[in-house]
Amino acid sequence: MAVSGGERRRNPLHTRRDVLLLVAPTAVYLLLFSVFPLIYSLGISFFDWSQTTSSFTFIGLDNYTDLLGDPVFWQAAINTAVLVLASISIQVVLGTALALFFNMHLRGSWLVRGVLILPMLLTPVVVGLMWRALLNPDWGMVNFALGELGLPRPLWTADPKIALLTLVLVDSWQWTPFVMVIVFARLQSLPQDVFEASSVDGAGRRSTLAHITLPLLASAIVFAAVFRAIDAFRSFDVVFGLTYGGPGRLTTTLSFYAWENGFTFTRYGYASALAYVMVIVASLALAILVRRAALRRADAS
Amino acid sequence: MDHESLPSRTEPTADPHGLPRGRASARHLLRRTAVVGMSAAMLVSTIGPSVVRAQSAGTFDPMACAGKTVRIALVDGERDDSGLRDKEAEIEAATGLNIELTTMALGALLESNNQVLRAPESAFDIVHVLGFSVAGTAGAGLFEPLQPYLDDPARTPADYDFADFPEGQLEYTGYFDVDTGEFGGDDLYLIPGIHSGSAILFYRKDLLAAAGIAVPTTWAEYLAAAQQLTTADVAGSAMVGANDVSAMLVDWYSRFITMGGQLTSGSKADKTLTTNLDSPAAIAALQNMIDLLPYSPSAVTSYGFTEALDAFQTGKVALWPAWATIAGALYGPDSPVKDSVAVAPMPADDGNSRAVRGGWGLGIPKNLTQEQKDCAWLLITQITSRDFEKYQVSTYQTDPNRISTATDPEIVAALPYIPTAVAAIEGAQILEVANIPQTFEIVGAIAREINLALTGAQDAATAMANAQAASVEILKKGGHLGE
Repeated sequence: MAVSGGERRRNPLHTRRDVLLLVAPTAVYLLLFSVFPLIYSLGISFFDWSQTTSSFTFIGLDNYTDLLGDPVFWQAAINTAVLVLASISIQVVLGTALALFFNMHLRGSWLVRGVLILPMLLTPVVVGLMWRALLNPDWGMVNFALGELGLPRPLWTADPKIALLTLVLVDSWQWTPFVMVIVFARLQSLPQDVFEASSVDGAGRRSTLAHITLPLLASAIVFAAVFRAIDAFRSFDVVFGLTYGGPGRLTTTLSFYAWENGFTFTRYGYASALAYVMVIVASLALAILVRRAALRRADAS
Repeated sequence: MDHESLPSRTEPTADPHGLPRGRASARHLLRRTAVVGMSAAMLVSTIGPSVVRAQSAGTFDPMACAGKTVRIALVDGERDDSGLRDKEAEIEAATGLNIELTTMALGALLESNNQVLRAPESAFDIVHVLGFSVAGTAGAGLFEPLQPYLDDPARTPADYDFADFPEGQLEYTGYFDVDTGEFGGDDLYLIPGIHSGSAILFYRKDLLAAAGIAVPTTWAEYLAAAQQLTTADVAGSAMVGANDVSAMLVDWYSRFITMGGQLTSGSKADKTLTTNLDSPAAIAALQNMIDLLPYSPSAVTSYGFTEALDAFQTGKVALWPAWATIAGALYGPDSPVKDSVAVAPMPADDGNSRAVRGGWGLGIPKNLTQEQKDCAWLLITQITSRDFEKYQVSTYQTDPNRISTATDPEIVAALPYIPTAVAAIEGAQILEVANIPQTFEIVGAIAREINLALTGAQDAATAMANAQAASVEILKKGGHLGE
């Protein structure tokens, strides 16, 4: 039904006051819980906190320059980068493969699919603690099974050579289903006429996958990868539960280091500066990723 | 510092020994025991387990806070809350208080304390303070001075017996000098509780006897014993080898200080405080731990305290230096090694067995109303009383804070490790960096390098050089060491 201009003007929902009233709760919420903490923590990053006097001293950019000279910061940055790149690579490849597999609609696949998504319903810190128990070298189920099979029993979280890999594997165990769900949902909505046309043209399975299915899935895969990359970049809980940043500093991530500085060492200014560096890096990386994805979409179209 | 010579203290006892800071002699303990212990035994036997008793004379009123709520935060996982949970209803009935008990894991509790003590109003009326965090909390003036409460007969039961707390523990988790930032001094901010502690050596007496080995008294003997005791089924030794502060505080530090090591030199007052982590003793202490790896469980580099306890408790380990307060679990009725475990003082290369001083204190945040503080103090007097502590120690085998408990014949008969544990507490050494707020940062930095060395990623000298560099940086940032 058409609404005349006069009726629209009389509609109380369209007065400026009503719009403001409707927007106000969200705006207040965002101001209080997002904007204010962001600005406040930015302010703190220019101060040094004294635990003895419970006071802040303005130190300008010293926290930021200290970060650049802090070897633990760089170690944590490298660990985080490795974790993000390795986890996302595994999760995208495996998640997409699983989605394609379940798209074949084999009998009983709904049940397996349901079971597979259970890990992502768990809290990451619980996942960390659970895997810490499973990977316990003395009585953990994983090493017990490996021992029964006559295989070596690694020190999953204590061996410097594999501790970070263990973190990557546990993160992938939890979040591969997320990628699978996103890609699977996109698969369900792909236009079937394209596949029918390719079939008529005599395209084989591999060719269809490479030239039709995957390009059509690209947006979903990029979305899942970006979402997961942001999440992995700020990994804290699973590190806390599984390795506590060790051995040494070999699995310390930027988030873990920020938490340690802020809440264990009460170096609030330093922790805030670190968090802001993370925000800047994540924003830049995200902007580049989105830009490249947009360019690709433009090229494809 | 001789606290008891101070005129403001309750029930002063002359003690002109001039003991080193944070230390109380065994002779001092025994002498006090003669006076205090006998009267304690008589008192306990005649009065029974009643938690609260109004004084026979004076104005103390146990119902002064009737109807009020006291919120208390205690550490989880160390059984410090167990006695209070058992006695909660009894205390509530006797005082009219409503007790709200919250327990938190150590890390969470440290975080919580940092925040609630600095909030406009504390979320807890009593907080549990680990000795290593006293400088960062009591030292920041965040606790209510307790001497006025202690001296006030209207607020403190007449039989509270403050003099029953050992001097060394009071210096660590009791008095703190805010002006100088040092332990001790004249101002009481915490009451020792719920448990104190240091480290002792746990060993399997059956395995040592079968191998004809005497209990090791030096670290070289310890290494040799571990080698001899190692079999296909049993590792000679266990330690905390993971990235865990106990690797530094118990395993490394016990070796270091008895090998002639001194953790710090200089003074924070004139900004010359530095660590000596690249000293020969520091490297030798770590090397001794590395040398033990072939005689330790294969997964020892992933062992935190819990994993090491599991290994010892399930009979897979012959020797284990550990926090004394875990003895209860090893001697308990459910322990598979209860009949074969024994304890001894930590080995010491200099012949003077000692380890780091541990333990906890209970404090009242300054950021509370006077009424809340009064009620909090009332609860503190109940849960640190002689009767309560006897119940707590005898039921949950935590390390005692009071001389009367440590020397109670019933407890000593039931818990045979108590004399060794108490002797360790008496001789324990306050960690030299415990008097600065960066304690955990430095301990953590050292523990990480120890952990990496144990995994084979670096040698002992490199590890300690790295630890030294990290510690110096922390001391500089903390303003304790000039550029």
